[in-house]
Order: sequence, then structure tokens, then C-alpha cells
Amino acid sequence: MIIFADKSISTGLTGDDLEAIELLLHRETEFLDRARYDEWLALFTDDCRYWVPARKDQTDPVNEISLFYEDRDLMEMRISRIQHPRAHSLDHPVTTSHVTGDRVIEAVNTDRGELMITTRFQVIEHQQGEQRLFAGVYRYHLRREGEGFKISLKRVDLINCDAYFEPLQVFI
Amino acid sequence: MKGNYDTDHIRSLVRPDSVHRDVYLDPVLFELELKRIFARAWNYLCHESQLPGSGDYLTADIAGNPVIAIRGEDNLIRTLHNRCAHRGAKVLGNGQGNAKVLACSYHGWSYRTDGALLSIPCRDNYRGTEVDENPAGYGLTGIRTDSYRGFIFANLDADAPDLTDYLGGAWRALDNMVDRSPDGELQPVKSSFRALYRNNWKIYLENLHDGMHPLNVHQSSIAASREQLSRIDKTSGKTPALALQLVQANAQGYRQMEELEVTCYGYGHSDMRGFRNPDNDADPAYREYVSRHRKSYGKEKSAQILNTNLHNVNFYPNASAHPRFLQMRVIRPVSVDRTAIEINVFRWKGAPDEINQRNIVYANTIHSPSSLIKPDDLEAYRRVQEGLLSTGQEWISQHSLFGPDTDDAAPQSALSEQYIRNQYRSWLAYMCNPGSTGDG
Repeated sequence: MIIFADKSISTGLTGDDLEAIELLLHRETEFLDRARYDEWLALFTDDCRYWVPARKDQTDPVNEISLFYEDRDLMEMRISRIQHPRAHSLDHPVTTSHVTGDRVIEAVNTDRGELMITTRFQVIEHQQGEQRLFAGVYRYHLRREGEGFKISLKRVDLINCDAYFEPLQVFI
Repeated sequence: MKGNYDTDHIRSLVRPDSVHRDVYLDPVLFELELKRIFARAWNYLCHESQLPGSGDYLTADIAGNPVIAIRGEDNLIRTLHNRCAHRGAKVLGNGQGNAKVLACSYHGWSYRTDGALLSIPCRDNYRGTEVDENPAGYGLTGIRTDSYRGFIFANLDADAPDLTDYLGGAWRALDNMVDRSPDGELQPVKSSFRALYRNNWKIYLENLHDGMHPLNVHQSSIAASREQLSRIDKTSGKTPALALQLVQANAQGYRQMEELEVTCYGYGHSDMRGFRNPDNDADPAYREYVSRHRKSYGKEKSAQILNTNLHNVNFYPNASAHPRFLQMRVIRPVSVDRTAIEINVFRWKGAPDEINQRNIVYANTIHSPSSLIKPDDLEAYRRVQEGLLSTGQEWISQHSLFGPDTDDAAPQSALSEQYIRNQYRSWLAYMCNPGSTGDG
């Protein structure tokens, strides 16, 4: 469900817009769960970023380290690596199942056709008989492109971003 | 696993060109390694820049001992056992912070930043006891601490050699890390990467100069980066990101690896020449960096520093460094088949931001838990750990470029297993020394 963080947010969003946003965000996690990575990547703008900060409240991805900080080139490279037949650590593929909460429209910039949406998530990741759990908040920046919207930023704030991790091979 | 850990038995596990699988599998040997190796070696804890102010501390682990590295009011950084003298609770929880007084959360015994006992609630109740008569014996026990170029090391063994003797020639990597700063100072980057490996700690150290593995292990990331680079080549006016070039760097053939010098030092340390000069003289940010660097060191010395391109460095047994991209990694043996690694990245004070940002790109791309490269390394380590459960073969081969391995042997190449044999000479020396107390 889409809700507004604040009643004062003047959206200029039509019912069709809200429907398009709901579908976009549904596909964003659904394509990951179905390992349809090429379709997943098509949901993003050319200048997009996929960012998983290494600490709470991190604002700087350039001068500080991040668990992931990828532009489209690096996202494409991760996808080709996942699909490569000799990725030894993926002999047993990683599969995920995402559950997301309400989509909260936090801010809208009508002039630039941009909006910021947050949603809570839980992801169960499975590989070779073992499961692990990720949880936190997704922050999406969406931008109007043509008829609909695309994702210009997916920021993943993990509640355990400072934990000891085993490899993070697929997008969370 | 024979359950007999006398010197003769331990010696029988290591041959000049191979080791017995027990050294990766036997939990009793693992416990003995903590006592005889980790509790006697200089353990790297942090760089002094991570503890800039009085009372700044971080917690760590040395051979299973919870410890605190803390800067005192006198500006000295000390290492203290993180164990209250009263009932034994850890005085500080795990992590990093600042404390002017170290107060135990259990009964409120408190200590100064130098470890001395400061106060005890209801002190009168201790009148006439050992605590009252000998308060100096009821502080946070200090641990021998020394530093080299600001890198702080601690050693539980009072009889260990001095830090500089221990580091031997391997200090050149630490020098280079600091000397690459135009101001001669490091600054820590916030947060760190923490990783859990499903392998014995030695398997990690045995991979860090291994020029034989990338073409096999890293096929998937080499292919993915090659594909991406060729896609970008076709897009006019676009320069491939540094991250892609860094991943592609693993595509070095055996011939190129053969040209890389790996130098062994005493106590199991070793370093490896960088396999690719990532610097580009035509790049404006690099030119600005070189010009600032030359101003500080003079042309000749500056060139000497910047031409020293070291890839991984092993400080046996608990640390590894990447001098060129300014990383320190702490190795913590968790159990016989689990190892925790923590990586800290630094900045060169006085260098242009853009230059320091490349160290961040390198860390994110190659060494973060999300690295495209590391998972295949970790998979290889794990397969070794699991493969060794096989009783089909007792011995692990380290024969590549076997030669007379002596302490002053000439450096060999990244195709040689000399540096692993060097680690085992040190392993034997530590492990065959029961110590004055009988068991380390």
C-alpha cells in the first residue's frame, strides 16, 4: 500500500502514477527473487546507483567504504558474474525471497519529476541448505522517465550493516 | 590426530615441502596455536590515528583474550586486559568509543585509562584484605605494547623479541603506507569490513601471494569485467571505471605472475610486489598528488616511495596489509575451521581527495563482503577445509619452486610456494617451543 509520510506533501501524482509506482516497486524485488536480472536492471535509470552503506546514517558513499556502491556498469558486471558458468561460489545458486511493507512517499519534487520512497523489507536468502535473514529499510529515488518511472537510487539500510558477513553475492 | 602433542609429534607434521592435514583440522592443535603462536607473536591492533584523543579506545582479541587498546591521559596508547579485577567481567563492551574512566558495569569497580585501580564502591568492606593492601595488583593488567610508524602491536609474551626485530624487513610495507602521505600521516576511514571465513586461519595467509590461483578461481569475475570493458569500449567517450580495471587485473597470466617478486622475512612474514601499477602520469589528480608529494620528500625520495608498489603483505600470524591501497586487515582465529577478518582503510593526509577515493573504490570492489572476487577465494578456502577431511591423502603439497629455503633465501616469484614454506618454518619454531611455563 502507498501512503504519504506527511499530509502536506503535494504530489501532483495521478492515480495512474501511483499504480505505476506500485508495480515498479513490486517488480523490483520480484525480478530479484525470480533471478530475472536483465529485466530487473531495466527498471533503473542509466545513471542509477545501488548502495548498501557500511554504517548507520552514512551520507557519503565516495569518501567512506560501503558494503555495495555500484553504478550501472558494476551492476551489469555483477549480473554477468552471477550468470557465469564458472562462478565457483555460485555452483549452488543463491535464491532470495523478499517481503516488503508499506511504500511511504517521503518527498516529491514535482519540477524534477523525482520522488523518494521508503519501505521496510525482510529478505530470506538461501544457498546450499542454509538460510540467512536480512532486514531494514529500502530508500528508493524514482524519476519520471517517459510514460512511467525508473529507479535512480536503491539504498539498502541493513539493521546489521556492521556485522561479520559471509559473502554478499546477489543484490539484497 | 594422535592426541600426543610433544615436540617430536608436532615436528613430524611439517616436512620441508609439505604439511600434514592435521594442522588444519585438529582442534587441540588449534588451541595450542593460540597459546604458542598468537600469544607469543606481536599482534597488530590498530593504527594510532584510530585513537586520536585521550580515552579513545577499541576492543580486540589476542589469542582468545579480550583486550582494550586505549590512549591514556599521558597520550600513550596502552593495551590492557579487558577483565575486571573483581569478578572477571569484561569492563568495556565490544566496540570503539571514549572513556575517561573505565567503570565495570557489574559492581562499579573503576580504573584509570592506564589500567590503575581508581575506586571500589563500599571500599571499607575490603579493609585488611589483599585488595586493600595491594591495590596495584587489582588494576586492569597491562600487555606489552609497541608501535611502528603509528601501527600499534601488542604481545602477551614478555620474552618476545622487540617489535622492530620481529618485523624485520617487513617494516618496509608499513613505511610505504605512511610515506605515501604528502604530510606523512594517515587518517582512518570510518567503519570497517568484517568477514567470516569457513576455513582455518592459515589457509587465508597461504593465498595472499598465490599467483597460481587467479586464472582458475577468478574466471567468473575476470570474464564479467572483460565483457563489461568491451561493452564500454564500444560506447564512445566513456572511460571505464577504476573498479572494472581492478577486477580485470586478476587476468594476469602465469608468465606475468612469474615476474612478481615475493620476499620472505623472519617470523613467517612476507610481501609481494604489486602486479600492476595503477597510477597514470597523465591523470590530473595523480599529477597533483605527485607534485604535493615531491614538495614534501624531494624528487628522488618521492619517486622511490611512489615506485614501491606492494600488493599483499603478511605479518604472520595476525595481520595482512595492502600498502598501495592503504588497508590493514586483522586476522582472528575463531576455531579450527572459522576465521574472522576485519579490514580498515585509511586516507593519506595531504593527498587530493580523488586519490584517497580510489582506495575506497578498491576496498568496495575487491574487499567488501559484496566483492565479485572474494566469494570465489572463500569458496576455494572452504573447499580446502572440507577436502582435507578426506583420509585419502595425509599430506598437503607445497612443492612449487622448492629450493633450499633458508632465512636469507633469494626472493622467488608469485608462482612459488616458498612463502608458505617460510610460514611453516616459523610455525614449527613457535609450536615446538613449550615455553618456560611448560605450555606457553
